[in-house]
Amino acid sequence: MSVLDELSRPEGPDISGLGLKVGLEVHRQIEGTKLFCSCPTDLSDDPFDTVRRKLNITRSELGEEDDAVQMEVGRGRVNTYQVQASQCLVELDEEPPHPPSQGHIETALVVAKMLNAIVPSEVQFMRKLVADGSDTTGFQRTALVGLGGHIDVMGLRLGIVSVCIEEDAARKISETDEGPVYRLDRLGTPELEVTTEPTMNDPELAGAAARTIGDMLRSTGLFKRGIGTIRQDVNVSIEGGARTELKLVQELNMVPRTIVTEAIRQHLLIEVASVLRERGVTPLSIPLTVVDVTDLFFSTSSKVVQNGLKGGGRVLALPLKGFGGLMGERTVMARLQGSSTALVRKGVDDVRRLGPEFAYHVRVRTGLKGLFHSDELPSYGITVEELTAVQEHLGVDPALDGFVMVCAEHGRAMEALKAVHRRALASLLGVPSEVRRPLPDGRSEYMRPMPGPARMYPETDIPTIVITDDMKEAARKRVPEAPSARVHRLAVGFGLSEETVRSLNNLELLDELEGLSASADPKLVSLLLLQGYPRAREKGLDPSSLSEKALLGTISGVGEGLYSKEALPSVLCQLLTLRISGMDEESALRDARKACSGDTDLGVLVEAARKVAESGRDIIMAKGEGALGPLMGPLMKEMRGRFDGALISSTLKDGIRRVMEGRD
Amino acid sequence: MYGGTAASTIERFGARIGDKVEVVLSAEGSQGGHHRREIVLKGTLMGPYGPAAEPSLTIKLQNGYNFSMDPEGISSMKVLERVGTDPQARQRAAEDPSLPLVALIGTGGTIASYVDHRTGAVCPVRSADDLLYLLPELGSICRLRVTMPMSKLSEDMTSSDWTVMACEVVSAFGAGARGVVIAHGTDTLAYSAAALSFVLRDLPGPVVLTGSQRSSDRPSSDSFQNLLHSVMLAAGSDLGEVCVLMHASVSDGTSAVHRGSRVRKMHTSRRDAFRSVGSEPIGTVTDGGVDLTAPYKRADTNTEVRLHGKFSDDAILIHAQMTLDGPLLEAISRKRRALVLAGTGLGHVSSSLVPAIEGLISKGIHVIITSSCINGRVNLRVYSTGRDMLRAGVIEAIDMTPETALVKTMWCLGTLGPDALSLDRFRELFTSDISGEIGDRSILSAFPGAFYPLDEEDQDP
Repeated sequence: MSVLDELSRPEGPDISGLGLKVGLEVHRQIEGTKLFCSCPTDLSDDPFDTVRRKLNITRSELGEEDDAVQMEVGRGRVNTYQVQASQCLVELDEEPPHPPSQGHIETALVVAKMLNAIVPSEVQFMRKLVADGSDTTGFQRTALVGLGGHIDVMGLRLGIVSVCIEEDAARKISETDEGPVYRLDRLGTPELEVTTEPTMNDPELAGAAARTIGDMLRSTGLFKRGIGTIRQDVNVSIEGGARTELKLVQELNMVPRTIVTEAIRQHLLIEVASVLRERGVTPLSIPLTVVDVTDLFFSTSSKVVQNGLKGGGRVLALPLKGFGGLMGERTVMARLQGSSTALVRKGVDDVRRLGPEFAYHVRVRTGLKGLFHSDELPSYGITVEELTAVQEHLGVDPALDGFVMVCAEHGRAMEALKAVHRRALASLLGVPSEVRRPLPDGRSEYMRPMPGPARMYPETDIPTIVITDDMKEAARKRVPEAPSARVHRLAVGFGLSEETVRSLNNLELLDELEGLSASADPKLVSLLLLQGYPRAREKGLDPSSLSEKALLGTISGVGEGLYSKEALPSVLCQLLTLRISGMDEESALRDARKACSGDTDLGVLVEAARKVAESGRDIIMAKGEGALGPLMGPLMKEMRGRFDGALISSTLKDGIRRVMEGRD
Repeated sequence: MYGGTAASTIERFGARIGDKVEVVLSAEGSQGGHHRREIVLKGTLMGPYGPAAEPSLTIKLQNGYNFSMDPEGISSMKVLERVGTDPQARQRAAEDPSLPLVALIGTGGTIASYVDHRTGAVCPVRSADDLLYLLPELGSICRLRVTMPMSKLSEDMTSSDWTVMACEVVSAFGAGARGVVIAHGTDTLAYSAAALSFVLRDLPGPVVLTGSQRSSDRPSSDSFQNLLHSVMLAAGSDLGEVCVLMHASVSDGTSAVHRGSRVRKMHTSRRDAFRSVGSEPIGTVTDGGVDLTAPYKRADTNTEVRLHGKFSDDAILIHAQMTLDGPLLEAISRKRRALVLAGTGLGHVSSSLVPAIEGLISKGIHVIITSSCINGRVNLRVYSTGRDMLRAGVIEAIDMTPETALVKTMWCLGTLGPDALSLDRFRELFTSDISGEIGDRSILSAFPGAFYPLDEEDQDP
């Protein structure tokens, strides 16, 4: 029994006994031009040219053995870059970087000040080697602008390790056999990275800290907003585990869940290591002995294997003594050993263990998408007879040992099993320190080994920036009001509930609230923002594209009696729809106001329905209530957007009945 | 090394650059003003970096970042670990004696470099072993011999350096090299290539000059491909000329081989900055092999290579433009034996300069006319100013680039010696084709960047 089992509760596993430690890296894009050139930072779908490049990174530059593997993967691969008119030679690494924008450095200093960090006497840009091709140079430029510091979250003081300014990587578009394809629109976008101390022991606290830091950055008004402009990397470790970095957790509410899942994964891996120890497994007892078992599958009915063999592939197997039951779920181990599996704790006993890890490593190393491990067989059309034949051929004990099998071209299959072997060896030690990519369900997959400090060296193309007292003083003056204080001030000032203002803060709409309320009723403004904006965004419309004048014009329709305040979201959507269809803002506003006017008066709809029914008298006489279908079109054309479709339909039905009954 | 307070601070605590240290830094507190707080930093003590006048001291933190601080703020520094020596000794693989011998001549700057993962310092390649470590592919193409006869930035090169390079090439072939690669800074690479193409003729193998436009301390550097393809060309082609090999486009994959006397650097930073002017490149090299498409001189393996002629520095290249007047032209040309003028358009100078040019020629100074258009042929017979210039005795550089015209002038002066005083002797040598630098046809495709021929739909109706 592990700590986790004792603490498992019906509502889900309680991980408080695992010695959890969480740290955050919050990244947020800075508004304005790129960091090292004057190009815009907007993502673009414009036409592009392509440029193809290779990177040359040596083993010594990455330092670590695992990184060297990564390097071999990167080596020889061709990176394809899509370059558009909105990018220049700097992004292509065809021209040295321009000096970093002074404004961006100031932004970084403001944040360093807000987080109480110590600013260095000189800011020195470093090159951080990145082998995956997402930077055309082969490195990411990054500089430390603040060290130490703290923030207060949920009544606790949380230490800040560092504040860095760095350039964002290119946007990955696809992966081909030759290598990855990137677009350069995002490359070089300035980004601030705030790293907290890895001291948080509560997943909820980590979520709150991410939100707090995000809010603080946003409150400066110097950062980009919207999807993809903020992301957090989460560092997770538990007692006896190792630090793993979960990349790009974009959704804040996913942060706690991702942490819990990772903590359990680490716990299960520690458990796997202890079972392996108990079974006496050592590196010497699991040599890399790859066995060709293709002969056993000549008449297989497994489609996966058949397809693999058709292309001239082989089936190779790697026996793993002592790994039986450790690749699949805990329940598999119980089954193999003949014990009962009555109690299945969700999120613990049903989590697959080494199997997925093997698969991730194989995919990263060879691009192969599938492997078979003994814990999940018979399956995929592989029969119990075939399973037994392989086990006998490999000489493994079905109750205690395992094996991994790959069907592919010989060389590639060999590489895949080498990757499995490497990962199997690492499992003897428990949890490897690595970078992982979160999946939508809260789990994560292996991306690459944790990079060491080795891969950083000075960027000699950019002179250091001396930070003067004047610069520090200017930054101090630009530190904005704390977000919580602002919420309180706006609530009191505009006579709104704190709840409402906080919701607007979470939607990142406080600037709009403050701006519009200077010339309009704050209650109407908050209604428009709180209900209209989310509805527009759901429809894929972007309200931030509208001018203040258009927004005020939308609101003023209520005061002029054109429509009720409840109609505000509809007017906004109507306005945005007209804009998207190419109409200029002024005409779109006029038409949207007109289309929605009378929203308060049902009589308009009744009258229109009456006229349509009257004009369709012949159809009604012929079809009766069946005339609803043919007559609905003309009425909808007139009334769409002003009334609900169901209401229009029922009103028309009334009109038709009136005609049938000769009441008109 | 550090100076000032930084140096005395390091000394006071007995630390050395490269040591792992623990520093206690006293900094301004979060409340600002007089409140102070202390922060403990661990990392590697780095050498000075950035403006020398600044008193900052830098350490490389455990997270890899360099952190600079005012040494006044350091209240203590403890050495945790002394700097060691590099444990990574390079193991050299055995050579395959059946592979051709290629000589790589380093002239300065860095041929290639790598980052020392312990200190984050950029280390230049100094030996064949270093280079084979960086580019292991080279080991399967040839047996590589690396020499570094000089270490100069290319903007500092002089004509005597051309001679040193040429002698180095001669001795490399003498030692059995199949081909020679010269790594060279790009700024004056085209000058050196032209110079070598005049003094090195009847070659037993290729002489390939190459360089890199994007510094070799970046993984994206063009130096790796340029070196690899240069070695492929030197080891495996029958080219018997001096050529320049650089990227053919901003993409990796294809390198262009340019005739040494026809090439020019046409962009400050792009990988494909080097272009053949007035002719098409001789061919291309890809990882798949060498493909020479234009006519070229074959290597003559029976020949004994030697230096043809030498260089004189008594020449100068200037641009003719509105502020150049007669007295200035005379002052510039004093103590020179030849003046190369890059004229406007077809080669013209202001008609007010013609008397001064006539004066120079009458004093025995040769005046050679090229065009600041770079592309195209000089022709002084079309307009009256040109005809006046010809009457004054100028020599047309035909379709040579201004730089090639200068280098050839220097070579003619040096090679002819006292005979160069004779305008006829000089003109005869200068206007004869020595190494493919002169073409008698101007072909449509030899103008890089031109949109030609126009597609029908692109043409105005």
